[in-house]
Amino acid sequence: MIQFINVSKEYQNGTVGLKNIDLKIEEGEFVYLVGASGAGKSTFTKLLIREILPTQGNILVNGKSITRLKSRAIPQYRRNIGFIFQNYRLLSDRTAAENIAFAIEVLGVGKREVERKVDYALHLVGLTDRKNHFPDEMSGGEQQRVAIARAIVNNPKIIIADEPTGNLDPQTASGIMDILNDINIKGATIIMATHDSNIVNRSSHRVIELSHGQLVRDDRQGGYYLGYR
Amino acid sequence: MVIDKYMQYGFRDAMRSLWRHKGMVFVTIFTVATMLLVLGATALVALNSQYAANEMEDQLEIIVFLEDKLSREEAIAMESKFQQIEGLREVIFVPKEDALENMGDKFENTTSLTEALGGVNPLPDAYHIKVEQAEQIAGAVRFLERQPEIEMIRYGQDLVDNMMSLTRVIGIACVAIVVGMLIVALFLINSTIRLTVATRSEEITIMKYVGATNLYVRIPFFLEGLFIGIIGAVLADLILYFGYQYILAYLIANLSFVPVLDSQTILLQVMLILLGGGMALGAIGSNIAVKKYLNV
Repeated sequence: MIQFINVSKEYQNGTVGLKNIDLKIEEGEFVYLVGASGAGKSTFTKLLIREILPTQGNILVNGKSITRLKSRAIPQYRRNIGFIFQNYRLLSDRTAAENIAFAIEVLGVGKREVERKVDYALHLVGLTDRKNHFPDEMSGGEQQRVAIARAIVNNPKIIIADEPTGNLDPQTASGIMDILNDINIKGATIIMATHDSNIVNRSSHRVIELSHGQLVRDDRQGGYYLGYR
Repeated sequence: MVIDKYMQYGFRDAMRSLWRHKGMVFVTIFTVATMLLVLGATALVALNSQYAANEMEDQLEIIVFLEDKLSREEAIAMESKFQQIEGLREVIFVPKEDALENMGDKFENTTSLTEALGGVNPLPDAYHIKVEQAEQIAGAVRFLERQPEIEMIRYGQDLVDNMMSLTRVIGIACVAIVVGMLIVALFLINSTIRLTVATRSEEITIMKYVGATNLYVRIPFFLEGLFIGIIGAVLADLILYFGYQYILAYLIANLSFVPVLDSQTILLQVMLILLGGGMALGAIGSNIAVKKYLNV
């Protein structure tokens, strides 16, 4: 499903983001992307949503090279990916429902279908009663659930989560993990960048560890976490 | 059609965010209105100065007195000669009888005047000549001086010179002020809009992350900019319209010697230009400002 072929990214200021990364992620996998700050996790996710381009190598998604994607085709590509951020990134001037709705509205579908899908997504993350609340009227965990609802509302095949539990207490974080595991069981491929050893050790999945932009561990069996080098 | 839905959602989003960001919207409308008002007022002052200068120019005339020995036919024939004057606007022949009558009117008693002069009219036949522009007077005078049939030429030499330099200074000053104000207005309105958009750059980034096309992102900002531009321009237009009427009425009533441009057409034209300018500034300005954040 996702394939990195000898991918390197060097930023204009000379910083190495990633170096000679070769890896494959199959459909339906749940992958933890671990590593210290500056290890290359963000570079990895940014490359995958085509925010930046690699300086070398190729990235294939569903057999198609996304590095050769024309800028016109990027929106279409991104609609097949759900993105979850550490700081939720909800629009503060819109309600929970409105925050989720615009991810569907960009497809140009009608109002009624938008409403139906928003309601379903809110139901999936257990926030039906928070529909008309603004982000600053909700807790961090609730805001992250809205963000997850926004990411899954279009039924994407791939979900990229960048430290989704980073700002949450352990109990709320485990609630978020339950939702992500659920989505994964329903068939979505999940790539989750995280610092949180508790979470990685609790629900065992494949672990990819980056250090200084290089792949230092790809533990396909998963199930445990070795910590940083 | 996707574009229909985009317009529909774009309109709704524009209205919603105008309402939810009303503080910022108010500041932007205020800036647009103030700048357009100052620009419009400057333009009206400039147009009025130009008008006053033209009015005074119009009153400049050359009076030519013909040699007394010329017969009436010869005197009338001179008119065709004057057609060669560059920029000629008006030639009026004033026969000596009329001149005397005019003079008599001034003294309110023609008979006694004629009598006092022994029944002889001492005044010569004359022509009143006007040219289009003050600058052309010198040329006309040079031409007239060469005509042997002319005994004397009278025109306000100093007045003409002063008028000419005044008109030129007013013209240059008006253009400079309007251009200067236009640049200041463009700069201020543009930075206000840029600031408004910058506070919402996160919104644009998130939209792009969920797969919004540039068009989808641009539409609401375009509509918001258009709306702000229209409201700002309408405010400026209203103040300009009533303000101008008030000042005009005051000037006509109290300083009637000051020539003023009492033309609805020109006032409406200025207002229309401001409206168009406001709309263009709002819509184009916001679109340019959004462009910076689209590259995600």
